[in-house]
Amino acid sequence: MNDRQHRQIAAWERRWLAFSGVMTLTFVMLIAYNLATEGAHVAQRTTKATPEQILAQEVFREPGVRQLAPGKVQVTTVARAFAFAPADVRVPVGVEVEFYLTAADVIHGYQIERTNVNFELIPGEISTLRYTFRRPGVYRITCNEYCGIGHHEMLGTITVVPASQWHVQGAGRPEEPGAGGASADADATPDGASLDGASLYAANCVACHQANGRGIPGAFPPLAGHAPELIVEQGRDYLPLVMVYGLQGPIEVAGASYAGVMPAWAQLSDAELAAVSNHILSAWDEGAMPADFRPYQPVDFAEARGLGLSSSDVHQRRSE
Amino acid sequence: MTTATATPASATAASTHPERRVTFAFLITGFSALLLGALLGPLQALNYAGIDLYSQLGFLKSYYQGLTLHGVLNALVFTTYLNAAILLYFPARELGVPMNLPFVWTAYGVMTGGLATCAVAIISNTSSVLYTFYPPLSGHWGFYLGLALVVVASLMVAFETLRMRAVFKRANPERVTPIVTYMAVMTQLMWILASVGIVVEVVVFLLPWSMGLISGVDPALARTLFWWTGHPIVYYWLLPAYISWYAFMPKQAGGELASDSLTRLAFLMFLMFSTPVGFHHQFTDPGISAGWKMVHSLLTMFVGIPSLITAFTVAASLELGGKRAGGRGVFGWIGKLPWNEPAFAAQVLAMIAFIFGGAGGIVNASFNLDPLINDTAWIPGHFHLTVGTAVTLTFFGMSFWLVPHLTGRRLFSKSMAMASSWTWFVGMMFFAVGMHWQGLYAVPRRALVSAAPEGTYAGMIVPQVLTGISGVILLIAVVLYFTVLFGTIFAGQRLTEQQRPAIPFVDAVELRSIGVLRLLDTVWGWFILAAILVAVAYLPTLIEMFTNQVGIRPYRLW
Repeated sequence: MNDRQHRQIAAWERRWLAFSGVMTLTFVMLIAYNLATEGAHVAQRTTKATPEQILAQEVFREPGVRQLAPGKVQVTTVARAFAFAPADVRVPVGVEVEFYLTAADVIHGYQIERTNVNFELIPGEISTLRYTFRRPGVYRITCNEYCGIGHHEMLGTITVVPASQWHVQGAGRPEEPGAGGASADADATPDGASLDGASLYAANCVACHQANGRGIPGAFPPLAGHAPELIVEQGRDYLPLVMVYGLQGPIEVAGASYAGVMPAWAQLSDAELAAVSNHILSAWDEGAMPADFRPYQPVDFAEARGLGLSSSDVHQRRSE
Repeated sequence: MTTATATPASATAASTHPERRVTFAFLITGFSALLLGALLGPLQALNYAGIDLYSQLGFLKSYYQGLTLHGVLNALVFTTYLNAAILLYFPARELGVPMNLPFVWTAYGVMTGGLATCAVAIISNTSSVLYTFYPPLSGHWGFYLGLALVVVASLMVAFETLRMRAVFKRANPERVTPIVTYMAVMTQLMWILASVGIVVEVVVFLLPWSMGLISGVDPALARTLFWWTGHPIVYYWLLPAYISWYAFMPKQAGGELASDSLTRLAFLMFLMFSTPVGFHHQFTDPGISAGWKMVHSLLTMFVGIPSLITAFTVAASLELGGKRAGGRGVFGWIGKLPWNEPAFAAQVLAMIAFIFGGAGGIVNASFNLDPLINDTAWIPGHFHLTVGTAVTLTFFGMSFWLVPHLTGRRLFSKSMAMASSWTWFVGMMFFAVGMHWQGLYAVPRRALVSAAPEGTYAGMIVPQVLTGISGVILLIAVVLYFTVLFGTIFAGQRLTEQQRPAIPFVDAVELRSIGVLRLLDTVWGWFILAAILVAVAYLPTLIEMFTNQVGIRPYRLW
């Protein structure tokens, strides 16, 4: 490289550095301008406590949509492996929606397509963010943080409707679900409705226990051949406990040991839990049930809910 | 003042160089990990085309187990082994300082022991936690122990790079560190600072937690420690590729390094700005204040500048070569570059991919744009351009001369080497377009989307087809590349010592501003400054997190 080349390159080098600096500054200024004018859709934390303490809060006992004040709507959701409770919500267009979300077990994501609503739900923290939907429509909600074998089935919808078509039953009450939408609110499911255990199973259980009920050896225990056995060995009261409180601790099924976790499914209604429980007892093992077995009724699960156990208590009960 | 700094010891290469063996061991183990990981890649791509082949595989239990293997082997293992080879061998040869071979072989043993431990944990499906392993999902303790050993070995390698420089400086106190060693040293210092986060996360929290010694881990704290390391680790992968671009490619193009001081400045900036930027991976985390997220966003923008410097300096260096070969005009020199040399062409393709990767990275780093694409398919689209193409294709290009250099075997097939580079580049471009596009539709990353309920991701046929095609093209690239690699090693024609390709060190760079260079050469001073910057950027948030922990028990949900 001769001196003339060197001077030429050095001159261009200075121009390039100046260009790089100006470009970077421009980007930074655009970000600042956007934050100042549009406001940031930034996830914030309101609480840090144990997941049990958070889930005991009033708003998370019956998660759903509430009208906090005229022109202000709150969506509360609990994320669990592998479902949002509630999965489907309706909010009015043009109204500020406060999302108030938490995770009950592991980290989950919560992203609403075509919006800036995208945040991490971390167990032990409540995430909150405000967003105003500008267009009506049905938006897909995805869990975008890996949470286990059923991660890809962790989906939901948010239906944005004109304000005239949106109503709540009253302040502090979750909104009635849209037609056909599964509700997390036990009271909202009409008693006696014919619930389809097979579709509930497909929506909530197949990720781990698989469509054929055989589970994944070493990771998730089978239900086929095993669920009726449980009724015989553990009695009628046991299955509702597992459904409502989950199960934590090592177990052995058909000679294989399992160290995983059965999450609690308390977000399903009593009627739904009864329907899906009856499904798993009959789907693969016709005739295996004791002749005197009465199918589960919602009341069996309502009774279980009153006991206030933990998932480890359920495990202890199983070992006894 | 004009002095020559680079007088590679290879000029007197009559001796047999025993460090070649350990270098080759690191290299071939790393490429073997890449082979296994890359063979799973097409399955991942097809998943994003709506085709689930995982359910057909007997030896893997799930997509998520396969993805864990793919990510760990390609992103963590392959890169760390290649870095060990590059950051030890070239400084040793440039300085003429012998490696401490027993120590380096020990590092190789520790790293490989870690790899084996980790591999057993993943293959047994006890640790399908993906390569970011966020608690409270908990892998087997062997998974964390294995990864910890790989990191310990990488730090042993860093220590050896620094030791060789110290030996050189003691013998030559008046000389500045030669350019390749300077780049290697800055990379290692950056890694030492960056690795603190993951070491604390794994050793203090995840390892005892997975063994049952402590009952709970705070997930937010663990994530923050992970990203302390998780962002700069991408520069740890990238900078060895930059060493090849700065120090070897100009020579391969018949040119010379356009600016020695600007090269050093770029690496200095990477040392300063690579680490205090991790919150830009946590823009959507609730437990970090918006103000600190903004600070990290700004610092991330700064770390774009050394890459822009690299674009200028490397392009100018290649232009010098192209013009010497008779190229005329603003673009005429480009055609005069040695495009028929796979060792060169692969690396130019790598650079082209990095332009797009860098542009996408600016989007990711922008506080207000990130929410649209965070944790969507956009992100794997992005890092398959940066680490998956820019770094990997550069390592391909280097291997085309380095493997013959180390083994004394002629490259198995030049045309097949060329074909593998182009197919990898084209395949990755298809993948990147398809995945970035799907990300804009909010398709989540690392999800078995092909098994999602019917119609969930409807209306995105074009990006899905592009992603699917990429898997097929990349499978062809893998077959071609590894045929060349193993063909060279096992069936390549033997070369005499004189026929082996020499290390293409850039020619003696003329140093025109020795004062600046001496300032840049006070590497430990810069290291302390970088550490202070990291402390300022991280400690307020970390102290709050440490004092306010909520322990969560381990979960296994796969």
